[in-house]
Amino acid sequence: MEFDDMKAAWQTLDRRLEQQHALNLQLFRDSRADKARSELRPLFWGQIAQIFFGLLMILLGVSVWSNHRDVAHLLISGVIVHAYGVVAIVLAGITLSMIQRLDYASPVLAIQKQLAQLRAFYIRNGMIVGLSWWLFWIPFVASFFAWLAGVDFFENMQGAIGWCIAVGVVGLLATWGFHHWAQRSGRARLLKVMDDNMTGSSLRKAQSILDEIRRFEQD
Amino acid sequence: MQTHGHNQAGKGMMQTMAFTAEKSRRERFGELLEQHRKIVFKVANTYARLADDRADLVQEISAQLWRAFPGYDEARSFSTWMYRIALNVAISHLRNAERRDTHTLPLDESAHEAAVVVGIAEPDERVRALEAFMVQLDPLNRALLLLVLEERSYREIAEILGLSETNVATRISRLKQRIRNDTSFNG
Repeated sequence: MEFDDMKAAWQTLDRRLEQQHALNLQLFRDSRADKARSELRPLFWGQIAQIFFGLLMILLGVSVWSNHRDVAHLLISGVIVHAYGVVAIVLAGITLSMIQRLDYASPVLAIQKQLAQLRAFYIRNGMIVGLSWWLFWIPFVASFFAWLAGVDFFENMQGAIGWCIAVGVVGLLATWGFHHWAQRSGRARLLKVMDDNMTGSSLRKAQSILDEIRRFEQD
Repeated sequence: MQTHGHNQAGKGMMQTMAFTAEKSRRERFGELLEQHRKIVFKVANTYARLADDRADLVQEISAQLWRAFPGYDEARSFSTWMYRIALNVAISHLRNAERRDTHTLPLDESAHEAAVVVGIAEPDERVRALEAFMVQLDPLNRALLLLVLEERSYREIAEILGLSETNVATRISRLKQRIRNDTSFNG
C-alpha cells in the first residue's frame, strides 16, 4: 500500500469529522476558558509554596546565626539553614521563569524541548530540596530549637550527632544506590514508584523525551 | 464634587470600552475557531483514541488557544498558529497520559491492534490501519504525518514544527518509505 491509500483513509476520517458537533463556543462566551485548569498550574503553585518555605528557612537561619555568633555549631547551623532557604528560592525562581517563558504558539520542537527541560529541572530541583533532608534535618532541628527555646540541640544530643550524620549519609547513599540499581536492572515499576515518591515524576522519562527530540532534529 | 463626577464617568467609559473590546475579541476568536475547528478535531483524533480522552483534549486545546489568542498576530496565518498550539497541547497531553498509564493498556487496544493485521478491503479497515500506523509513531513523527496528510506545504510544516524545509523534505520521504514497508498496510 502506498501513501495515496493512506490519504484516502484520511479523507474518510475527514468526512466523518463533518458530522461531529461544532465546538462548544459557549465555553468562550462565559469566560470559563479563562479559568480552565492549566496542566502547569499545580507546578506553578508548588514553586510559590517553595519560595515561601525558603523565606521561612532564611528567617529562621538569620535569626539563629545572628543571635548565636559565639556558639560555632549554632552559627554554622543557622548559616546552613539560611543557605538552604536561598537555594530553595533560587531553584523555585528558575522553575517559575521557565514556566513563564513557555509560549505554546512557538514551533512544536522548541516548546517540546522547553517542556522536557522544565520537567528535568523540576525533578532535579525536587531531588536537591527533598533528598538533602537526610542530613539537613540536623541543622534545621538545631536552629529550630535554638530559635524556639534557646536550647542547644547539639549539647543535648552529644555523641548521638555523629550517629545522626552517619545515618543521613548512609540513607542518602542508599537512596541513590537503590535508584541507580532500579534504573540499571530495568525494574520500571519500582523505579516509577521511587520517582513518584521522590520527585513526583521521572527524570529518566524527561531525558528520554529530550533524546527523542534531539534524534528527530538530527536524523 | 464635579471632578469626582467626571472621574466616575471616565472610569465608567473606560470599563465600557474594555468590555466592548473584550466582547469583540471573543467574537473574533469564536469566528476563527469556527472556521478552523476541524484542525482541533483532527489533532485530537490523532493523539487521543478514547472518546472521553478526545473530548478532554479538544477542550484543552480550545482553552489554550483562547489563552494564547491575545498574542496572535493577525498578519500571520491563523492555521499555522493554531496547528502549533494544538500540536503542542496534544503532544504534552499524550506524554502526560503515557506517564499516568505506564502499565495499563486501554481495554479496546488489543482488539484494535488485532483488527488491523488482516488484509484491507473496506474503507473502515483502511482507516483502522491508518490509526494503527499513527499509534506506533512517536509524537513528533505523528505530527509530521498529520501535516502531510493535511497537504500543508513544506514551508508551513517547517514553520509549525521548527525544522528547516530541507529537513522536512527528508523526513517526509522517510515517512513515506516507512508507510510502504508497513505490514499492516501491506497485508
